[in-house]
Amino acid sequence: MAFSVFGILSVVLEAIRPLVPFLLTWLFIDILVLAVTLRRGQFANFRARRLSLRVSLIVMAVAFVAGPWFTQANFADLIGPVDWIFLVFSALAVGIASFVLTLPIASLLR
Amino acid sequence: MSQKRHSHSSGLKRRQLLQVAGIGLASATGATVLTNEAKASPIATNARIVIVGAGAAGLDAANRLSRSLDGAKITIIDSKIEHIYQPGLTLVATGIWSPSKVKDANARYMPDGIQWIKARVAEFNPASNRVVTDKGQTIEYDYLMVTTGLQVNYDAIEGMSTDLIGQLGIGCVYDNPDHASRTWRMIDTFTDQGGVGIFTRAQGPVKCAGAPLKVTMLTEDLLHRKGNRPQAQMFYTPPATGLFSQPDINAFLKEEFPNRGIDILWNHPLVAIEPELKRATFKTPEGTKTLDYDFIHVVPPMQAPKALAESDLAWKEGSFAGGHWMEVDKYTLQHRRYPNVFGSGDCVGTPIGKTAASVKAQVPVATANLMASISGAEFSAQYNGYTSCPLITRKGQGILVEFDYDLKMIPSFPFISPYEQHWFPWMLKDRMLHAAYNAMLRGRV
Repeated sequence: MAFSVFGILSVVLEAIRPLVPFLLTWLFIDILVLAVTLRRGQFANFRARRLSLRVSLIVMAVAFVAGPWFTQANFADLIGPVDWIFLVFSALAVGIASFVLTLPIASLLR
Repeated sequence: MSQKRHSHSSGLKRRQLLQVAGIGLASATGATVLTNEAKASPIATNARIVIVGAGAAGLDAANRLSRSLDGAKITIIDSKIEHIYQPGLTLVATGIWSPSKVKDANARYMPDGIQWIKARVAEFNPASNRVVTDKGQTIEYDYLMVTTGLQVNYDAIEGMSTDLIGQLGIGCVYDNPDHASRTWRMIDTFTDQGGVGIFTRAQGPVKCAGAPLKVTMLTEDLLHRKGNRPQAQMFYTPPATGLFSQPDINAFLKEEFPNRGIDILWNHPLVAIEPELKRATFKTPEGTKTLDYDFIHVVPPMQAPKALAESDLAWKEGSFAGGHWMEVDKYTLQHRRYPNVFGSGDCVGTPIGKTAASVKAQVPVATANLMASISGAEFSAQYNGYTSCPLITRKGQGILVEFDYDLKMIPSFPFISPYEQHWFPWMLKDRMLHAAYNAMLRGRV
């Protein structure tokens, strides 16, 4: 079975559907904060990037450790490179997303 | 079908025919949906299309047809308000998911602009292009899409009824979350106390043929986790001499079950139970045989729903006539005698494929060919028999099995071995397949 980009996006949307109101609210706040920080010329400064990076590294680590638990499994169920690579990339994706989502707020705080 | 409607169809311009052909080709390959959505304009038609059944196949078909046709009068007939995510029932029956996780509402997926008649079709009259509902309403159509699903014949097992599920050690994963959660009560007790567990499998095609196997293996796994495996004896009773239609997986299971202490009793179709005595009767080649049990997982035989089975749409001869499955060409999913009738899902008589994954592959083909039929174009979409089973072997692991009519493995993810147990297929089953299913209901996968 082949998958189209549109099909994959549809599946992702369905997977995160319960989180959509939360994500939209966060994005709305992010955009407001982004506008404020850009106006003040303090968006993504060094200290903000460092704070956001720290937060996203913690989130990434939590995602990695909690990944199997999130699926009601445990690390002993991971067999072979495919399982581990998937877990690493999932954690990485969560980390990148958290960096992007926290950067505007970090810019405001720093 | 009225002559007026035919002449309208044949009058389509070449550009529209090419659009239909394009949709068919893309749908058959399952690819470039994005391109279709973006570029293909709807086909103008005043055809009356009736979809019977608002399960997975019916909703998927309704969404695809309503997006691809302009001016068609689409009617869907089903009395069911609730939508059940049936692939999740094995997880409910083994205590991994709560029943609420598989409950949904058909209304959430019903496309705008179509008519939903909340009734059950009691009669199919394909010769006169009509269906009659249980409320006496007659609905005429130009094109019919049959997606009724199937019927579980509890009565075929003497002594069995749905009321018994969840009592006296009787379980049955099929049909609805209530049955599955009552089954979980019995499995929970069995895995606490041990005893003799019998796991049956009906003769003939059943929906999600992997479900009886998964229930067996997840129960065995749970006995281990509770530390009660030594207190339990487990028997799996297939009706013939195979465990799974795909030969590689069949070979795997033939090793796996004995390795896990699950005894296989070949040629043991269940014919009767005596609930009070906790005794099951099997019709073996050597004669009837009875076995006592503490827990039994009953898998009754299945067939097309009564109205379809009794209609002229059902197979009249051959291997599919027994279950009264709908007679379709196995590649185009068009009825073999009524060219304006198409089918998909559990009700059709095709060699394999009574799974949600089959629906995902069948509906794009059936709808593309229906649209080609409307416009008088050649059929370009073909169903290759694709079916899939995330065969859960224990909580946290599974095998992603995908194969076609030739029983050849056709993995969607070439980097995942369809022969080895991994966490990845479990993760898909637990976290992603429900989302994929919902996207399918919206006709987006």
